[in-house]
Amino acid sequence: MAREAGPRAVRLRMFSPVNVADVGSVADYGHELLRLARNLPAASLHRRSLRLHDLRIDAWFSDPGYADLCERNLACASDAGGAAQITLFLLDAASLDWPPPRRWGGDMLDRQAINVELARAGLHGAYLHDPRVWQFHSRDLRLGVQLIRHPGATPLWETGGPLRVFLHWAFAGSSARLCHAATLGLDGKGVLLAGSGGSGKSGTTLAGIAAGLATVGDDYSLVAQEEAVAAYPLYRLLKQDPAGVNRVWGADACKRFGETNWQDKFEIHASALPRSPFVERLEIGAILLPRVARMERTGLRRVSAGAAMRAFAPSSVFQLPDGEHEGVRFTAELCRRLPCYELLLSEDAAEIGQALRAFLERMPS
Amino acid sequence: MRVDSIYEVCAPDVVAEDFGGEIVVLNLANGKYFSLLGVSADIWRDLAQGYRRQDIISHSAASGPEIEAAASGLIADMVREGLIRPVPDEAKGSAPVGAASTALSLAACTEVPGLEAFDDMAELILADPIHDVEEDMGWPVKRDPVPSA
Repeated sequence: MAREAGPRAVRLRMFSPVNVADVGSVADYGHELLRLARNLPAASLHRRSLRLHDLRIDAWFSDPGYADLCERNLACASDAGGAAQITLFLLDAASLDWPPPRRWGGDMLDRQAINVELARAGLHGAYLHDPRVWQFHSRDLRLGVQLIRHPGATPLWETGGPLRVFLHWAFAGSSARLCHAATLGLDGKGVLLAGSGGSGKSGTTLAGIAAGLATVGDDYSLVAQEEAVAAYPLYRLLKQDPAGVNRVWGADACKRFGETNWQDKFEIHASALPRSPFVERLEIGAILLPRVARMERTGLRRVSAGAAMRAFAPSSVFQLPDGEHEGVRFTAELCRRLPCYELLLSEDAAEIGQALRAFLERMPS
Repeated sequence: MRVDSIYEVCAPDVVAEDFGGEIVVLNLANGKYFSLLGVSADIWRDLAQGYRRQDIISHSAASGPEIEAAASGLIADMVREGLIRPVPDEAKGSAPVGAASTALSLAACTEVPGLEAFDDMAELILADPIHDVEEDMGWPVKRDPVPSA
């Protein structure tokens, strides 16, 4: 990594304080941020070496608190040595004495159109208006940069899923992809729980965990399609609202998990649980689509691959920026490969957990 | 809508996956997605292969005017939802090879399933750029001039 200038020297030849108003200037801005980030002096940043599944990340933070949060909440393997496959700069303008991130000043644009233009410039990119966060990634350079205004000015959801967009971009070129799916497993075998927000994924995951099942995640998981379909953890967190925690563990359990987040959900770190439910890998044998059906007993109903695709693909594809076509193909292939079931939920968390355990026990290896 | 129209899928915004009995179509521009079942999936396959609208509609003649009207209405719905668009005359290629999927299915069918639309993800795509930005959907995006149901 070149180290040719300090923050103040960088600022002198940095972007002018105008807004970003067209697609072309977005790409220029992205390249400029990547160049400036690479030239930051190492001493001004806080480094973390992270490994998720087979991805090694060299991450440089301007805010040590953000570095700690990522290290704590990401499902990092203990062996983080070896050459990095991607370098990330997670920067805040205030700490670096940089101008704040530019505002978007142009008309509303087509997301597809801007992604196409950025791809021509060799970039992926995302912009979040309210927190004013820019994120860029160059697949060729294996380099990413995020610029926020000041320490802590990340999007509200960052604590529950740090670096998610960068992980999406970094894994998209491999046989694995981030999927908006929860998981439950037993003895290495597992199921994906798919569906849009509110479909019951997290609550079902928690019910399964209470019944002694394992998981690699209750929101996003890394799914690989090779000879077998396998899921790997991205985060060491579970998210659940107080009512869900109450249903599974009782009211007293809520006191253990601190404050709720922006969605009024607890972000429950594995270390806060008496037994960590997280495992490093689950071989996936089925896709389940939870539905809050208030059945007397939890039931399973076989559904077509197309029905599973409708429940699974939109939330995975539309919630992650660009790569939608590949995401659709990946999800469709998953739905074709695996048997798919609608999981008709009862209202009894313990009964749900036992029904899932029984299903996993019967599921062939 | 011309009877000799040929259509193409509105790439790159529209992407479809064929599951045999069902085709799932996603419109990435507005977050809506669709299900086409049975003979309606056959109609999509034939349109995507370049069969003329008239070729497809003519196969429904044996099933009666209601089926003909339903097939015609389905194609109109696909166009209205921005899933397919007419190919300009100068861009029309050679005729598709092989029998149309609808040649048998439309002639023998009793119902043409409609275009089933799902818009529960559309809010993510049509977020207000200043105040309604949803999780991970921060790009300024274009609202549909007429929000559809």
